[in-house]
Amino acid sequence: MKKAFVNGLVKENPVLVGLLGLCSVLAVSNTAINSVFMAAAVTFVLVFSSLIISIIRKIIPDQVRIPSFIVVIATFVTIADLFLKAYFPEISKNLGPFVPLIVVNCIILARQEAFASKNPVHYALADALGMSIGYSWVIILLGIVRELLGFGTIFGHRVLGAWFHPFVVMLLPPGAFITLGVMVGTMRWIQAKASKS
Amino acid sequence: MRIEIKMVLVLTVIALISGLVLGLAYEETSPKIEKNLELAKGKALKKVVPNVASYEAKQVDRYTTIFTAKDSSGNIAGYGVLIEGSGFQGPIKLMVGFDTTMTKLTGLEVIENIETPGLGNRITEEWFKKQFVGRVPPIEVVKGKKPVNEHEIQAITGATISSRSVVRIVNTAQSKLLSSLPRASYSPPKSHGQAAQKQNEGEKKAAVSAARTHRKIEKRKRVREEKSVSLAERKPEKPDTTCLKYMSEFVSPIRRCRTIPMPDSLDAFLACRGSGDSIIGVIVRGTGFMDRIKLLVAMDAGDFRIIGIKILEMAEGEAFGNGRDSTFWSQFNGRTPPLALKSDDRPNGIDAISGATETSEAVITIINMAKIRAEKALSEIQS
Repeated sequence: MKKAFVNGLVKENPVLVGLLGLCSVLAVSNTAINSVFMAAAVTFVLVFSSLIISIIRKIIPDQVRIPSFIVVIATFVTIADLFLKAYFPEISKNLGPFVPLIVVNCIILARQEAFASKNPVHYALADALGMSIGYSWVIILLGIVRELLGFGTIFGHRVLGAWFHPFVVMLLPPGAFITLGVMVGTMRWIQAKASKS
Repeated sequence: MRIEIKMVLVLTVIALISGLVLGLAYEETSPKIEKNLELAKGKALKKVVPNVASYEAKQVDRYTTIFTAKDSSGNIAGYGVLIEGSGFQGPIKLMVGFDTTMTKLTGLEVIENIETPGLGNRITEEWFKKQFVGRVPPIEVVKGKKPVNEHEIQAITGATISSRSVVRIVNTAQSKLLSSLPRASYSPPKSHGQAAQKQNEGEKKAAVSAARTHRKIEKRKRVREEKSVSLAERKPEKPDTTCLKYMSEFVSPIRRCRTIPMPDSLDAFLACRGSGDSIIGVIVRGTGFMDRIKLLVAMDAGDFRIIGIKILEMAEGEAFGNGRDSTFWSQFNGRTPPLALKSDDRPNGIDAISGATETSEAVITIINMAKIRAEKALSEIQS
């Protein structure tokens, strides 16, 4: 069970290693706060979908498993979207279509297909939590770096003084690709070093 | 159980449960979501119009909602136009505040935009929005110099297109406002109002508008008489060649022609026909889809019916909006601004050039401005 949880954090990190769900990672990580809410939405959807799928895994006929997964995922995504719209309208506006788009986020569907539908509930939950945290730390770190370099702030608080000239490119898609590329590269480099020694 | 039946059954049950859960979630959140939307609108309106106590909303078309703002004693405090138009990267939604006469801007708020962060996105910055307060549309963008006139706005460095888009949307907001609500400044005299109050709503409207039209015609007759007299009495002077150059296209023979200098160097011309009625020509500029549009609009100086339009500058897209389409331009002849595009509830509007709605809209906005400028020019020579 511990292994199922730890897996997603670094070794099989869905973003850095699996390169899954990049659409939302690249699009909404322009500020740290957006990243936090996106991470929370994905965590909510992934954990609850895995929980339900794992519970009903034995009664789902193999032929209709994908549609069943999608319906369950879509339900939780819609709940998350409605919740954000009702209680955090500003954030919901910033995230735009990327919350509804969690439905087609491959991390979620991949975890149902590869894990939740084949494992008992506690394993499925551990895996979902691990993967969620793996997704969350990457997108939040990305958000912090991009906000810092793009605005000179972190979570809206000014960190870099007036001398700092913001790199507008960091707020644009190229900035997301560059930062993510550096993160993936660093990760590979560390792994390569670790396996050598 | 046969697998086909099981498939259908399981999926149906999952979908049913999902539907139920979503129904509950929607039930729980929808009043809050509606409230958030209302709050956001009200908040934006209060930012752009001073002293708002209550408001009435009226949706004009898919992209435009007009708010009539009232102060605590029930008088009209101003108007807010919630309007969406295209920016550089995507739609820009604005709340534009107008004073009670619908001519002056009282404020501007950017409700939604997906312009480039750090560049076009700067349309949300205070200094940019503040520029619009007190301006008289149609507004124009100036680059590299300080705006001096009451219709000029400084562009954002590196975001000219976004700045222009905002200006274009603001200008459209005014033409939509003018064409969809009766002008407060033209409200009928009290006796008409009291008589009309006894009648029902529909009759009241008709009576009001009839009274208004009557008053306008009377006023224009007076203006026309005064003008022709004053023009006829003037001593012959050196022929005004600039005026003749511009106006000979619309008026012939020209008895007299004079240039009325305007403060922003976009001049107006008053030409007098043999029969004694005067034609006013005004040069108007505005922002089109691709670039600036400059037109010369000739109108009857009495009732402002359009006599002709000449394109002075226009660089719209070659295929559609280059707009040299004569059927489009001839629609304006004989009509009095403010005009608007044809729509379901405005069957006698102007037909847009198909594939160039933006350009057509821009042209109408500019032509509507022409009337305001003509009125201004006429009052200039009277004073």
